[in-house]
Amino acid sequence: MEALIDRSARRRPGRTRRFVAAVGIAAMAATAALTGCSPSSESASASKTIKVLAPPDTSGTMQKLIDQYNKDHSGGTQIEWQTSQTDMSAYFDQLRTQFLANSVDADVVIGDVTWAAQLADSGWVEDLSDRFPKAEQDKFLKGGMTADSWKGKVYGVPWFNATAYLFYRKDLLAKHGFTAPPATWDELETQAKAVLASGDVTAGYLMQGAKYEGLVCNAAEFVWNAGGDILDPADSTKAVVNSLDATAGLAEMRKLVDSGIAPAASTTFKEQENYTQFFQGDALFMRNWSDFYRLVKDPSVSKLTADQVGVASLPVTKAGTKSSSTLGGWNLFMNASGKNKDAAWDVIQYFTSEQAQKIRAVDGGYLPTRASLYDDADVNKANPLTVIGKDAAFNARSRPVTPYYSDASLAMQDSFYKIISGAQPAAQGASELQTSLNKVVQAK
Amino acid sequence: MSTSTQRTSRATAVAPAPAEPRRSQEKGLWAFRLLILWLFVVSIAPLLWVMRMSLASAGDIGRAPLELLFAPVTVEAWGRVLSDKTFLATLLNSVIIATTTTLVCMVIGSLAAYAFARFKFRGSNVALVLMLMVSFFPQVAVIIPLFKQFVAWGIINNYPAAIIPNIVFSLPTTIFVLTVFFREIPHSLEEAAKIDGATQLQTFTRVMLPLAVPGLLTAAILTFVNSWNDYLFANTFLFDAKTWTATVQIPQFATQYSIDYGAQAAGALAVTIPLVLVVMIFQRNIVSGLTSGAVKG
Amino acid sequence: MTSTATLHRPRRIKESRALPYLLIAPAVAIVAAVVIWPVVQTVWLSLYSGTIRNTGDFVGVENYQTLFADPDFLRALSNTGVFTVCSVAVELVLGVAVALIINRGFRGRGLVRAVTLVPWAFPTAISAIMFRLMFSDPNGLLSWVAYKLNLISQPILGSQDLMVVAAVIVDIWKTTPFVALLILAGLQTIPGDTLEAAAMDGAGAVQRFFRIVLPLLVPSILIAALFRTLDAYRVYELFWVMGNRQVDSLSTYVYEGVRVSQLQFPTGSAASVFVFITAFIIALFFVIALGARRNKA
Repeated sequence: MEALIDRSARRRPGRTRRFVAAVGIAAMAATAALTGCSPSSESASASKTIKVLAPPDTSGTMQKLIDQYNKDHSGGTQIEWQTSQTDMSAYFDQLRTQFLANSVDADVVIGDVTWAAQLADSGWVEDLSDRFPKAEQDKFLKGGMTADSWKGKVYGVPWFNATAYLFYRKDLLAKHGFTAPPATWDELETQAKAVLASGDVTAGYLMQGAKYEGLVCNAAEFVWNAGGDILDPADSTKAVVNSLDATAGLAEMRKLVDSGIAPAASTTFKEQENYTQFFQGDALFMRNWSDFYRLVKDPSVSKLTADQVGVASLPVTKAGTKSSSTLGGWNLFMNASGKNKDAAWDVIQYFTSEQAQKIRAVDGGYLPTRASLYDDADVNKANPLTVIGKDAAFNARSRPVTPYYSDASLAMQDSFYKIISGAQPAAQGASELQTSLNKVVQAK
Repeated sequence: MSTSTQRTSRATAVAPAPAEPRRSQEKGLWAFRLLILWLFVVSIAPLLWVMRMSLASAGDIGRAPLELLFAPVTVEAWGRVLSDKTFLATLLNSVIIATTTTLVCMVIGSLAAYAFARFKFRGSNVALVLMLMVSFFPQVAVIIPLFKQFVAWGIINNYPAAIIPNIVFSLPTTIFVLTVFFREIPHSLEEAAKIDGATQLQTFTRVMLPLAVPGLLTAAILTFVNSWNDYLFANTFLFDAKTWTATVQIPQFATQYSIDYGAQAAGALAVTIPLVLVVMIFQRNIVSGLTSGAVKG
Repeated sequence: MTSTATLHRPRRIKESRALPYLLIAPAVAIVAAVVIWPVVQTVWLSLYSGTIRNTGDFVGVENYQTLFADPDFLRALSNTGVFTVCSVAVELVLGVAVALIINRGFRGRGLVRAVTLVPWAFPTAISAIMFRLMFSDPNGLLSWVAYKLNLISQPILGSQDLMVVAAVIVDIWKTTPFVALLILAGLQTIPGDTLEAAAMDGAGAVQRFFRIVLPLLVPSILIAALFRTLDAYRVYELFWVMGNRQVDSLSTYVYEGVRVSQLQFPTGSAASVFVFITAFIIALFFVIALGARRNKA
C-alpha cells in the first residue's frame, strides 16, 4: 500500500500540472466567451445602413429589390436584410420579446397585417401619419390601411396583400356536368359529393383547420360569408360572434368535416398540406392564398396544368351575401427607436413604390397593395389573379384590430378549433368565444 | 438523496446468468437474440427514417412510406443544409455555447463537489439538497424574471444568456456525479499529500482532480449533451441567427407557408450525428458515471 | 501564550472552515441568481395584475382563482398528469427489461448499449419536429402503420387524446435507455452469488426475478422514477413543437401565458408558481420514500 501511494503521489504532479493548465485555459476561454464576444454589434447604426428585419423569401424578389436599391445608392444608404423566423406567430412572439428587451436594432420591420395595433399601442413602431398623408394612403387598398391604423393614426405601409380564393378543378367540374364553380356552400356540397362519389378525387374541400393563425382566417371567412361578424363594425370593443348568422357559418365549417367533404385530417392541415394535395390532383376544391396560384406552373409541386385550375371567390352561406376573404399580407413598420428615421422612411417608400410592387407582382406572384397596379397590363398578364381575383382582393377584410391581438388570436384559435374538431357545437363555441373575446378587446 | 459511502466494486458486479438446462437455454438464446435485435431496431429506426427523408426530394417526402422508401435517393437537401452559411454559423454557436457551458460547469461543479465530498460544514446538507433540487426545477417557471435580469445585465441576445441557465441546470448532475467520485477516492491519498506539505487546494488539484478524470468526463458529456440539446433558453433569450443555436435554426428551413422537411431532416441529423458519435465513443464512461452516481444516491 | 503552535492552529481551523463555503460559493451564487431570485420574483408577480411590461395592482390570490377556474389549465394539468404517469410507468417496466438484457454477456454488447443511447442523444426539440412528420396524416410513417394495424380511425394530430398518446410514445422511445442505465447500475450491485444461491434453490427464472432481483432493484427504480417523473412533469418541447400548440402541458401553458399572451401574464405567473411547488412536493415524496426504505434496511 505504501508503495502504491508513494508511486501515485510521485506520478501525479506532471499530469496534474497539465490538468490544472487545462482547467485554467478552460476557465479563461469561458471568461472570454462570457465577456468578450458580443455578436450583435451596434457599430452599423453609425454608418448609413438601414437594417430591414424580414422573414426569408423564396421568390427571390426581396433580394432583387435590395440589390437594386444598393446599386442605385452606392456610396449612400445601403439596405441590410436581417432574416427573422419563418413562422409568423413565432416571429411575432420573438419580435415583442425583442422590443421588450430594447434590442431591436433593425430600422424597418416587415411584419404581418395583424400586428400594427399591438406594436403601436406599446409605442414600439413609429407613427407615420405625417410622412404618409391621407392622399397617399388613398392610393392603397382599403383593407390594408384599416389594419395598419390605430386610434386615428397610421403605423404601417402595406407591402403585399394575400387574399384567399376557392381553387377548383375546372376539368372535373366540367366532366361531371357543372358549368360554374359553387357560389354557396350548398352548391359546393352538391358538386363535391358528386365528384367524390365518382372516385376522381379523395378530398372534396381542403382548408386550414390546424390550431394556428390560419384557422382564424378560415373561420372568420365562414362567419363573414354567412353575414355575421366577429367584432361589432361600429364598436371594436364589442364582440358579436354569438349571432345566428355567425353560428350558421361556423356550423358549416364543422359540417364540411363531419360530412366527409373535407378530410378528417382537416384539423391538422396548414397551407402546405393543402396545396400539395390539391396540386397533386387529389382534391376538387381548396381554400388557399393568392400566393399559391403561381405554383400551378411549378412542375416540382404541380401535376396539374393552368387550364385545369380555376379560382373563384369563396362560397357564401346564403345566395346574395357578399363574399369576403380574410386579408393577409405583410407591412413595413418603422422602429420607433431607430436612429435614421428619414433614411428608413426612404427605404419603406422604395419597397412599397409602384415600381417595386410591380416587380413583386410580376416575378413573385404577389398581389399589390396599390390599386393602380390592378390596371397595369404587365401585371395583369403575369399575374391573372389581378384580373379574375380583383374583386376579392379589393374586398378582403381585416381581422379584428386590437392592441391585444395575440390574446384575441389565442381565444379565436381555441374556440374555432373546438368547433371544427367537433369538441363543441358551433353555438356553444360562438357563445364562449364572445365572452372570451370581450375580455380581450375590453382588456379585462 | 444523501450519499452513502459503502461501495460495491463495479468490476466484480456483472453476474452472468446462472446456467440453465440445455434445451431451454437454446430456445431462450433465440428469444434473447430476437429481443436484442428488437431493441437495436427500435432504438435506431426513427433516426434511419429521418435519414431516408433527408435523402428524398421534397415531393417524395409526402408520399406513403413504401413509396418513399423506394424513391430515388438525392443529396439535394444535404446540399442545401451544408451550403447554408446561416446554418453553419448556428452550428458554430452551438459548439461555442455547449463547450463554454461544459468548461465553466466543470470548474464550478468540481469545486462544490469537493466541498460536499470532503468537508463537514454547517449547512452542507441543505446546500446539497438545494443543488439537487435544481435538477427537478421546471425551467419555464423562471424564464420571464430571467429575461428581465438578462436585459438588465445587457447580455440578452448574447451567448451568456444561453450559457448561464445551461450551466445552472447542468450543475446538479455534475455535482452529483463528482461528489460520488470524490467520495470514492481513499482518504489515504490526501493524507499522503498533506504529509508532503500540500495545502488543501493543492491536494484538490493535484490528487483529487486527476483521479476523478473519469467522473469529470462523464459529467462533461452529460453537460455537453444537455446544453447542445437546449431549445427553451436559446429560443427565448437569443434573437437572431447570429447567436441562435442549431436546434433553433433547424425549424427555420422553411418559408412562410412551406416547410423544407428534407432540409430539416438533414439538419436534424447534422446536429445529432456528432453527438451520437461522442455518446458511442464514451458509452462506457456515461454508463459507469451514471451508475456510480445514481445507485449510491 | 503566543507560541507559534497556538497561533497556527486557530488560523488553520479558520481557513478550513471558510474553505468549503468558498468552494461552493460560485455554485450557490449562480443558482441563487438564476433560480432562487427569479422564483421569488415569480411568486411576487403572481400576486399582482398587469402585463409583462407594467406590473399592476396587488390582487392577492385572485390570479390563482382565475387559474383554477380556467378549463385550459385544468386540461393542461390532466394532460401532464396522464403523460407523466403513463410514460414513467412504461419506461420503468421497459427500463428493467432492457437493463436485464444489456446486463447479460453477449457478443456486441457494447454496440447494443451504445445504440440504445442514440435516442437519448437526439435533441428533443428536433426529434419533436421529426416525429410530428411521422405522425402526420395519412402518410407519416407511424400514422400509416397505425392505420394499417387498425389502431386508429382518425388522424393522430387531430385529436388531443391521441396527441398525448403520441407524446408518451416518443418520450418512451427517447428516455427508456436512460432509465435502463439507472436500473442497470442497481442490477450490477446485486452480488452474483445471491443469484446463484437462488438458482440452486431451484427457483425458476421468473420467480427468481420477482422474489430476489426485483426487491433489490427497488432503490434504483425509485431513483429512476424520481428523475423521470420530474422530467416528464415539466415536459415542454414534445407538446410545444410536436403538438404544435394544439395540446397543452403545464409548461406550454405557462409559456403561452407569459410569452405569447399579454393579458394572461398574471395567470401564467401563478401557473409557474403552481408548477414548481407541485414539482417540489413530488420530489419530496420520492425523497421521503427513499429515506424510509433506507431506514428500514
